[in-house]
Amino acid sequence: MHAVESTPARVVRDADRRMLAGVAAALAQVVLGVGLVVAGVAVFLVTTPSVAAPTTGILATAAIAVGLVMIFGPWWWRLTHDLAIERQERIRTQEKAEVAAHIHDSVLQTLALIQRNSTDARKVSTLARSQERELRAWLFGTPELEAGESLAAALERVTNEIEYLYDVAVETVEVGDCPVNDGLIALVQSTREALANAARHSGATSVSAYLEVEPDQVTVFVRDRGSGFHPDDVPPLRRGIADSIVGRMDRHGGKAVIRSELGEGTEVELVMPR
Amino acid sequence: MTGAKPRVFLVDDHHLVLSGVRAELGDSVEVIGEASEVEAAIEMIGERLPDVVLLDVHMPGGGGRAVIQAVCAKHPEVKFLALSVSDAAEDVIGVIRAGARGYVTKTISGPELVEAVLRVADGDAVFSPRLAGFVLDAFAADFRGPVDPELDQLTVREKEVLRHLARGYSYKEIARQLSISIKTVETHASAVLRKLQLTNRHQLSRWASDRRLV
Repeated sequence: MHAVESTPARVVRDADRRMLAGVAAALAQVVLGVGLVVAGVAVFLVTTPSVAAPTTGILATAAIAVGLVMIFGPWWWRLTHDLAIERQERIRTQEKAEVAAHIHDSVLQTLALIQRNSTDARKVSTLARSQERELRAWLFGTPELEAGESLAAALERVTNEIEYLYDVAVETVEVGDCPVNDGLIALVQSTREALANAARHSGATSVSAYLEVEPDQVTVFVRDRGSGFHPDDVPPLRRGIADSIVGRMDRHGGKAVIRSELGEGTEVELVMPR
Repeated sequence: MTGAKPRVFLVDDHHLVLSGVRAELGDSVEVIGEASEVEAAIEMIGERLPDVVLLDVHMPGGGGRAVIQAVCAKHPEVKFLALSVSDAAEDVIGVIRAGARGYVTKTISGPELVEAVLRVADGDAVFSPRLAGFVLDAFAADFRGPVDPELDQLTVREKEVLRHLARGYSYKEIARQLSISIKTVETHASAVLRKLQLTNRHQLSRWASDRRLV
């Protein structure tokens, strides 16, 4: 039993073989043409009675040259044309192979995971959402940015992480973007804490995060429509968590405001000046 | 609100989506037909004249925009609500400027979809949080050229309403937060929609790609 090559690889190898054959044929023809030219010049020199009257000889040579072009020209032109087509086919095949690889890697695997976890609705939802986001970015061409460079990208990484860890949906809306600095990193970390709190304590299955970059400041709102809380009812441990958000923002020159209503939900407003 | 159930027409080239949307809409509206191709959609909408058309942005043969442009030319009273998987900025803005009154993504819940359809049937605008964010971004960008304050700038109140919409607030919640009536919120949203459709900000279609450059 012999191994069967995958179709794209086999097609690419055949294309290579054809290209080499084309090059060999082209070389052969060049050699032949050069040989004929040399022979023609030699005959011309030998048979011309004197150097003073070479006209008929030149005309004869010209006729031979034109004749040669007419014989070999079409072959040469078709050869270069075919080579160009071969190259295009190969590029297209490579691209198709890339698409197939990506789809196999991520999408098919996610679909398999979904089938295996089909009784766990939240797990299915999380898997579907993360695959959707990834495929959407791949199809519509969102450029991959380093988290260290763009605030919006850093925020997206954080929301992806929270979605994955807590099985909640995070709806993100971003207005504007800018490079991160220390203060903005603190803002992103505080956002992460606020999202984690909402995921852990609110009971909501979806949280919204809104980022707005203005010339003088950056604002983030993290909002859930969960159970909410009354400040006096919060046990000391959880109050400590809220303090850490407020405290961290304060230390970097920003501010945090937490508003909540029992039964209505909670909103955390984070502001960092630029 | 007239009291009668709005007559709705569905357009999408995926049959699964059509049946899913039909099920979500349930009894709140009267679905009077569906089409999965641009040409068929234009013809049937012209015949049956629904109140609201729910249509997908991406379809072969010109997509949702082609349907809107063809129908609006002859029947401007038909209202369009775009429903799509894509929330790429170019698609969203393009379909609004072609004449759609609103845009929602396909992950929207059933009740919210019904509310959006009813709102469009009433003549008001529907903004998904992401669309609201886009509008804020687009109108904040620098604008070279003659500025018409009526069309090319947002008022302070309009920006506040948009900001709350982008944060995921419902119209009712915005009304409560800003201490105004729901009708006022709707008026502001409709004004913003009109500006979005008519503004001379030519870079509106290009701003999204510019925004990606940090």
